[in-house]
Amino acid sequence: MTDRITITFDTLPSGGEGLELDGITPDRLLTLSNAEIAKLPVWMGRRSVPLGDIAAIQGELSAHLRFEGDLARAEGVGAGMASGVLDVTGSVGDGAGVAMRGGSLRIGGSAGMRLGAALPGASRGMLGGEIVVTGSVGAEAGAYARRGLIVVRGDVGDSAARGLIAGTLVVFGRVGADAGTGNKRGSIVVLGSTAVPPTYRFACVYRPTVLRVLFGYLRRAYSIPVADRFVAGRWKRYCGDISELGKGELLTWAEA
Amino acid sequence: MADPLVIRGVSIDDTFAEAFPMRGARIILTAVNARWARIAAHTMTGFATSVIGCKCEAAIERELGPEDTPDGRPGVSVLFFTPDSASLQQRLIERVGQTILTCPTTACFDGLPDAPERMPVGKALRVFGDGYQSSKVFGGTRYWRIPVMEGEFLIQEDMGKVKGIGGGNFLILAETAEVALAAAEAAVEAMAGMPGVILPFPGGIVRSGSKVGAKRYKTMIASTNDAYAPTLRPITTSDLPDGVNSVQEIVLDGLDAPSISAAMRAGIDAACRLGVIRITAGNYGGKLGPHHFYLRQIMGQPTA
Repeated sequence: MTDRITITFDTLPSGGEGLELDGITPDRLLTLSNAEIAKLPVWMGRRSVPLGDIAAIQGELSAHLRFEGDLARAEGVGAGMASGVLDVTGSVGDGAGVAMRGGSLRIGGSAGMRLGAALPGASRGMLGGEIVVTGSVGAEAGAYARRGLIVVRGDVGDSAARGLIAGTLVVFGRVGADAGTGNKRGSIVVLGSTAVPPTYRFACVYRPTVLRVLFGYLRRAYSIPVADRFVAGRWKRYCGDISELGKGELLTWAEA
Repeated sequence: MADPLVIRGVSIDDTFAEAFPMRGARIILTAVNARWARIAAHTMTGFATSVIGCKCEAAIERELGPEDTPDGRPGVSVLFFTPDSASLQQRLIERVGQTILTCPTTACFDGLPDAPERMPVGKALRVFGDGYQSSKVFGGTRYWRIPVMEGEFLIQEDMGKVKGIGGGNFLILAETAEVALAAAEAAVEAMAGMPGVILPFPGGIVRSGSKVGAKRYKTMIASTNDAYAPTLRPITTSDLPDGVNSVQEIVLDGLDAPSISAAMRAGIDAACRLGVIRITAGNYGGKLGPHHFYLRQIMGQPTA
């Protein structure tokens, strides 16, 4: 047993085939030896190759997994993970954390489309766990998430939190167009800027204690430096999507 | 026979306090400022001196700074004790629902996160939200947001429950009522804020220590401790030595035995002052309660 399993990926050929890494998650590697991990199949374009052929693997029998190397074109990083910690040092491609059920996915760079969203054709996205992205993410972040927490320290693309069922999306930067359409009970928390969707209605300006707890947790668990003006400040609450249940919310920072 | 233990002229009896198993919880209350956190804590722990008449025993453990609370606001830690497991949850639901949910600006959190036994206090109270409540999970902990006229009340879904101890005690026997009270006040001040312990009686002091049952009234489960009542000295079997004209008692509940021992040590030492004649403890011969706190051991001396 080691403190951490580190998988260092070789640099992918430019313009070549992409990599699919769904299935390489801490919960699935927890009981595997180093040699068994190296034999796990991953898809590279239309080819299935042993993980050990494209990456160097250090450590074994740990719930803490780290990906190093260029994964900007790797899809499905942390997809379906149920527990443990997956720590990615750089950026990742589309579909990171889709259908995630538990654990903590930490992305040191940016992420592509459909972060924490649903698998194609599925009605539910993320079912639990936490995703923290240091950079920005593409469209449809958190789409159809039923539970779980997604934190993006940069910007998010269009249609963020589309069809959100009950999860939470926190955005430190700017939010793209059409955020939160179809939101049933979920929360969208925006520290940066966003347009209020037409199907959301202003409720009040207040100081939500739950955000004090959330930001305190982000400071402690992820070392995210949330400014005091957000922790103690006033927030505007909008209820929506009123074309759905209307029990979801958009919280935007108003003033210190 | 061991030498008598005397601290600053005060004789410490070679006896023990007999205490009982309880179920305990630590609740963290926060508010917009320390004043409202204190109001919440005092209200929640009011009328909770003894399980005999109040169904629970509760008091403030200590005040907390913003750095020690889950929401970064000033807070107060309170301890709750009941004789059995089921009633602890019920008392908490009643008291949090009536005194914390209603109190401006407050939030309510669990103070025993490592306790494996959990009580769904917040989960029960969430229905006050009438379907408008919502929950959030951060780091595996679920919080309920209950919409109220002020804004929103936040409460953790479940609270930890541990096996605690109730009924640690010592009695201060003094020359005068003034000296007994001053010594008891000094003891309370010395024990204030010690972790894992509360003194549930008014100001931490009991003037009406009781015995089990009653001689005359058969339905009474407790009645005056006539052996230590100075006005009855000549007409009862008195345990008061000559010169004692007043007795005050300190009762402690705690999350574990070491916490109670540490607090008793600090309290007894502080109570040893001019005019105090003897310090003793209440017990039932060791037949009723499994926890025995020997005064001499607590004060660092071997028992006889």
